[in-house]
Amino acid sequence: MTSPKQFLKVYLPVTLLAFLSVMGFNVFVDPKDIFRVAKIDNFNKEKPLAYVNNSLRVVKSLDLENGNYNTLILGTSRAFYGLDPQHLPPKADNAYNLGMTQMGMEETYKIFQFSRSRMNIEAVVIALDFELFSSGNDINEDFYKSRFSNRNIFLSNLDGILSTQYVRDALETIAFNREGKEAEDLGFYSEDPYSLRYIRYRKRFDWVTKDLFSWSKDSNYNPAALQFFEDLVIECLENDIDLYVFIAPSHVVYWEVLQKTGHFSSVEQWKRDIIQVLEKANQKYPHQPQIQLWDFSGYNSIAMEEIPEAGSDTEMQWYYEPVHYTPAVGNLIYERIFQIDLVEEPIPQDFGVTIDAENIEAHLQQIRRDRERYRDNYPEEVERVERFWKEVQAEN
Amino acid sequence: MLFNSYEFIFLFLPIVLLGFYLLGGNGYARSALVWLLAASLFFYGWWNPSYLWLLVFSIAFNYVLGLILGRETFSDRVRRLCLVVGVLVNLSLLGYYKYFNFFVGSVNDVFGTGFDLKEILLPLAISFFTFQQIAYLVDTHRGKTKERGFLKYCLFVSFFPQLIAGPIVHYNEIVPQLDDRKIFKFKAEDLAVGLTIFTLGLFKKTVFADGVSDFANPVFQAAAQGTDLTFFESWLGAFAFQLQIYFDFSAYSDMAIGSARLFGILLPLNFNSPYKSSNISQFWNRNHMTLTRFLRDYLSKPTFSVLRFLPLGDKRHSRQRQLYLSSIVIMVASGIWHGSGWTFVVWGLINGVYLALYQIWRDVRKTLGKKFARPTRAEELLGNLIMLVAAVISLVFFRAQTFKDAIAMLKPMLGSDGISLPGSLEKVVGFLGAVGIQFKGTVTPGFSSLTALVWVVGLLAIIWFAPSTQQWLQEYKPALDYDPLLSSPSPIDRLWKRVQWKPTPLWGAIVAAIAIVAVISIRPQSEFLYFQF
Repeated sequence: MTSPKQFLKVYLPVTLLAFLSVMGFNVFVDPKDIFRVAKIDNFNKEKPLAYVNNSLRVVKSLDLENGNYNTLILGTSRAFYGLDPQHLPPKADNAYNLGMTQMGMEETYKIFQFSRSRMNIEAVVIALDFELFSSGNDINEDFYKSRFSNRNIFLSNLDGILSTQYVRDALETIAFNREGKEAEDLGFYSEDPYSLRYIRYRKRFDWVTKDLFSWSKDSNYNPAALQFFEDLVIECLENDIDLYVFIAPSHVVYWEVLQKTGHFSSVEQWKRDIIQVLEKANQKYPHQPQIQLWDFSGYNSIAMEEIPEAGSDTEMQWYYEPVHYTPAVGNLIYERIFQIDLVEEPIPQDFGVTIDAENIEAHLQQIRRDRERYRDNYPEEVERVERFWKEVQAEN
Repeated sequence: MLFNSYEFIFLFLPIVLLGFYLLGGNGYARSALVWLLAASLFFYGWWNPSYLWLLVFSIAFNYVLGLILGRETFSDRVRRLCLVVGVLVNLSLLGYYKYFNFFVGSVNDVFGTGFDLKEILLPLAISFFTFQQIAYLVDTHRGKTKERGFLKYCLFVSFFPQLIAGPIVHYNEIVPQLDDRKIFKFKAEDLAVGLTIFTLGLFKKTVFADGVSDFANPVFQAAAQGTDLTFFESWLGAFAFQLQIYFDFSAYSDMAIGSARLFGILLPLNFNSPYKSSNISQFWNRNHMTLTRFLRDYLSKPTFSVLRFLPLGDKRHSRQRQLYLSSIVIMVASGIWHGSGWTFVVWGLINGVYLALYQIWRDVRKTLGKKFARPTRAEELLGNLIMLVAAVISLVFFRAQTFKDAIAMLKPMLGSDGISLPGSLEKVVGFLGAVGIQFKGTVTPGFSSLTALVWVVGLLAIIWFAPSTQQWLQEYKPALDYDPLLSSPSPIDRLWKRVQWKPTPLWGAIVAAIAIVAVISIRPQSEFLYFQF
């Protein structure tokens, strides 16, 4: 029987039904944790993929909207991977980690404002990175699909909802739940960052170093971002929010990269600028607790952790690669700032100092001297970084 | 808006279709056309609204010039002047947006100057609507078109199925169809045929083209990053890219024809199984057919009229040599049209040389007598294989970003580091080690030799043995002026005839299954390769 109408009577309902079924399944299982229709034990309650996809801001905006936290951790992916909100002393029982990949200061400030409009924030811990204040780290695409920018989650997040990848993710989520496992929560990712899990340290250090060169050569310090930081500080002071500020640690390889790309003097200037913002704010609110600035960056003993040779199975204790520190380092930071006892071993003396307008120049001098010492003691590592820099330059 | 996006498939297309038939079916034919035009402009503006003005300006400018060119009350001189101005303005716009940085960059490289490059975003479809309207101006000057109003002219240029990446249609192919009242009345056959062609195109894109790109991209990337590729993987990568661009363009052409058919409008065929050709000349008559047609109809003649003043030997040989040279010039122009870079120029040059070599070969055979005038079946098969490999080599320049990257691909392909096969094949053909073949495996990350080989061989089998979409639907006017006889039926084609598409419930179910697989295979970030041209 040939009749176009008969053809259509089969084609249209079959395709429609199939697409609705796939979409219904994916929305219900919700592997990215963005639709939140229903969470069923042993089926889809735990979301192992919520923090490892390109909708991180959507997930975290919903967590904030639905939850009620009194303490926030702000920062980039380093905070996301390194600072466990449950170990945070100020209001530890109710903290949320808002660190996210490729954060800039403007986005950080907007997210902070969003949080304040939804809940009563009592304390904020902000992990400052040079990248937060660098050009190129603008507002990310998923921000515009999230509640942070007041979007309708359902309509803004249907990309790929009919794709096989989404179905695979949904099935993985169900399997994870059936095994009785628990997924990460409170905005913190405690595991080794997923994309590097199978690459051992030397290789990933080399890989990330090259990547950092490519990124860093096209990115510059953006002092305009300081205004957002200042606004955030003032808002905290005006509203009795305890603010803890520190400059995040990095492995020395990262500082060598910034030296090569000519950004290290900008890093020094950035530290001076941060101090200036804080001093100004402290003076403006003399009756509030004065905000201190801790600096964990530089050539300290944690930052100089040895990188195992290629093929070695030795685990690194403090770093995943040059920029991302492990939660063990996060705990050391907490110990130092909050004077608490989280780690058995003593904290190295050179890890973390408070800096201000008076001691900043001496502090910067010290870092420069430490660098010379490092270069003398690790000539092979220094040479390796220089080689990568030449390779990246040659590729362009 | 991409044809392979949810918003196009599930929102734009159904809404536009519904509006068109609601208006047209109730006697508001003109409103239906206005609706279609508004939808087409929206479709274009979705990508970058700020360039909509460029499209609108281009349409209005060419329409006004067309009015002058079509009026015989204007003197020949005025009309010729208008034509020259029109062609120049069109080419200048294209030149500015597409070639400015290429030109300035080349001048800087050659003369060591330091002229600043500008940040110019290439307006989508500019190469296509420029050529389409140049053809219109020339046709109008030649008295071949008949003015049918501004609205229809706008639609001739901007009708969304063919706006972004062809087919490059003639005025006389589209406008008479818009005049026909029958298109406004909903016909189930148009919907069934259009949906089938669109579905097949979507499947080719999301399953075949995107699937095989997983083997092309990593290999070309590795070459660009300085990895020393092996013989085997470089060839696999190059073949994978050839198949990617084949299915990508075949898919786009089907989706353009299919979506136009939903509105009862037929577009000309643009892609007709080019790798079933037995020589490069046939190949270009079956690949990107409307571009080849444009180059033949509008560029060959002026090129040849210039080249004929170039003395290339005695009178008889000179003419032949001028023809060969003209083929090279036209293919270089085609290369430049495709992209603003020297790699594209070289790609065009190589294809021009291929074409000239084929023409020389053909002419030499002709001089050998009648017996050699027609190739045998075996020669055709050999010709097909030579053409396939030659095309793969030229496409390395098409895909590579720089000459350095292209050389990094071509060196291992030509065996610079010996011939090496994957380690997994050592068990099967280990004896080849005796003749110097090594089994070193692959070095590209995330590249599985065996899977890549299965994909490449499988897709090659499809392009050789499967019928084209149009052959499959040949009883239902699958393209404008489609002539099934042009597709030179092979024994395997006769076999396929037995499974011709028909609008039956069974085919409804089969095509629905294809649609489901195609849609769930959509990758959110996958554009069509031809969108960059």
